[in-house]
Amino acid sequence: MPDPSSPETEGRKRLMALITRHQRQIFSYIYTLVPDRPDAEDLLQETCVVICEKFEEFTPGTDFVAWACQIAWWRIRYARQKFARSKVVFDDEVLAKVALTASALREELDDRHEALAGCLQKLAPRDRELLLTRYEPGGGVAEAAERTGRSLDAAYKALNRLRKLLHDCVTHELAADAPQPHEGSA
Amino acid sequence: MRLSDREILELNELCGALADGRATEAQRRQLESLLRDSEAARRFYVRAAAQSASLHAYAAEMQADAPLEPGRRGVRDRLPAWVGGAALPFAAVLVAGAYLMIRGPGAAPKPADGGAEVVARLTGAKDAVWVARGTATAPGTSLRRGQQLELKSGYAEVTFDSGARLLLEGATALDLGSAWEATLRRGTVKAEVPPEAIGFRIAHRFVDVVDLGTEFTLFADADRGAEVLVNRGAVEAAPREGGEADSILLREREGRRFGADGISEVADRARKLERFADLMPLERFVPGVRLVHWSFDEPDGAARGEGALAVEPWLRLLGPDGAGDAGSRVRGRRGQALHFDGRRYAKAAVPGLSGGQPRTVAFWVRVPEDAPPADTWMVAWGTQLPKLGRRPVHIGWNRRPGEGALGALRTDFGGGHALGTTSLRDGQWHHVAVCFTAGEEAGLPVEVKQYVDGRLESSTIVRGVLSPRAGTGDATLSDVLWLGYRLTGNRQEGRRFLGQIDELFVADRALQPHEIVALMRENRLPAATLAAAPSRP
Repeated sequence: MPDPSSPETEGRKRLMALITRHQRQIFSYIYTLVPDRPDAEDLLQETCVVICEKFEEFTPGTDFVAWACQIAWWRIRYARQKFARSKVVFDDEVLAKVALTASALREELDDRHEALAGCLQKLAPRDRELLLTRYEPGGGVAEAAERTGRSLDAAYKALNRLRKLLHDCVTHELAADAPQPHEGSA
Repeated sequence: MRLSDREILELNELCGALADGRATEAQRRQLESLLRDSEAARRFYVRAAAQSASLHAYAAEMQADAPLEPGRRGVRDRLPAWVGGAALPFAAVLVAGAYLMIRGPGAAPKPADGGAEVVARLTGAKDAVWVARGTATAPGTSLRRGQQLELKSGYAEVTFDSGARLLLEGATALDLGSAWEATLRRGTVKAEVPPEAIGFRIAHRFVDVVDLGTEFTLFADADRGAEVLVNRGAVEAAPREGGEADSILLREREGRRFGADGISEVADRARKLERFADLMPLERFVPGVRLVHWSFDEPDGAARGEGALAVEPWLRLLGPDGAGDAGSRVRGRRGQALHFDGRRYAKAAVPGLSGGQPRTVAFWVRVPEDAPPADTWMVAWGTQLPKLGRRPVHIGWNRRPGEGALGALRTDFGGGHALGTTSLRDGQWHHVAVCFTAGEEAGLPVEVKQYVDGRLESSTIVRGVLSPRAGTGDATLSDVLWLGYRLTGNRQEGRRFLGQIDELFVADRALQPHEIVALMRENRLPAATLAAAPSRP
């Protein structure tokens, strides 16, 4: 049995911790460039494989997410021909420009992710049900429409409205920059 | 340059069409054109796409946090503990995949990351020989997320914190993903899944099997395929390869083989079903337990606790000024319950409560629908543990909607909290059980398992910041259980609880899922547990 305190084991632990902590951000970056969940997840897994293979090249203390997103970027470029026939909607020029914007907004996107939780909470239960059913694994607009008793067309319209509502809510929350109340441990 | 309202609406429409997979070619070209020419449009698009990614993550996390049976319906008005670093549902899969990837084929099995949470226990064995000594051989061993088990021969039983129970027959290799899932690399596994653990999943290279409340067997080899046989109930089996994407519902005594060449019938199905029809005569590991139980069935006044931990059995009822109070009994879940009016509280001595040993607190609780957020404090005890900042532990309901579902079961401790998903604030009786393990050593992770109505609701914690103003640990708060009272550091606050509490148990170890279900259903521990319990110290 390997020594749990060996440098190799420690490295694996560090790698697992970094991937666990940051995979949402990496997924978000990939999804922005390949806006289809299954394809984005495939690319995330491929990216994680490369991260594992190249982890020795990562310098501790530097920006892991930036390093991982760089790997993801090249995976997307590598898969460009495959996706060009199906999911990727942008040409190389637009893809590169969107990638730059995504990198530039990274910190803001993290804040938006956290603020989104609070904004979701503010939605009416039926609207929240629609959104979460639409976005859950295996879910779709048709299922969400059925579960919330809407027609398909009404569901599409409601989703567009709700996404805009959340977008505005998050923007408002971040702009307000309200200090969070802090209480004791309890 | 800012976008005009018209441009924003147009972009929102285009981004929505793209997200929902219904964008026409013309819409794609239009969006591409906008993104090529306008940085403001790109910013809008990136924020919108990232929001969709976040919604995918939140929705998936919610689904994985509390798996529901397929076909479930109902308004989803409850949200999980989203923020604060909770892992995404696909984290375990990815991390395990990455872990395996760097492990390389044929390498020795690895112990899980010592910092990962406990997700199961080794609860039984017969003639078990493990490939790597020390990985999971000791009776009652706690098994952590990501841990890999390799049983060379014999039988072993693993009980997950969700309540699912797997019988392994050597030679079998199994990876533990979470309290709700495992990956069978090769070998034979028989699964028994109680109703509380419906949704438990076993993955294999060729098939995912989701249990629908049943008993099934999975025979698998590493490369050629896996056979799923349903002994009782039904399962949903989803092929992962071979181009057949639809799930198959398999009912009692049905079976299928899933392989690289697709799906086929199981050869010799009847014989294989019979092989695992009965439970193996395992040597089960039932750790002893000491507990104290307050039924609150006395006519009025102080409540007397029963059990080996009831050294000082009287639970004193106190009014708002700390003076003795006759208390108020109301009709409870069983017999009578203790009513808390937002001012009254109670306390009792429980030996060892403030130390680092694992313990379980279980009770029935009813919270009014309109209970105010100031009165959430059901059960508390002080601690003397430096790793918790000597802060108390509180069990209550979540009053912070920004952190998760309002009214959900919440356990706060110095340095973090655990949060469930089911709102207790609905005027109904709910059974609540919290297994809390702090450990004396600073390096050991705090483990909190929360069960509501017998079902595991949360098994991870949200880490917080332990501020320097940590309490010093008021000795008068040590080993005292408080009901309906908020303790802050070494200071007692006036915030209380509004609602009723009934059938309160405190046990001196983390109870297993079936023991919690027994408390809920029968108001007592299973006979096997009671038989193993030591007498009063």
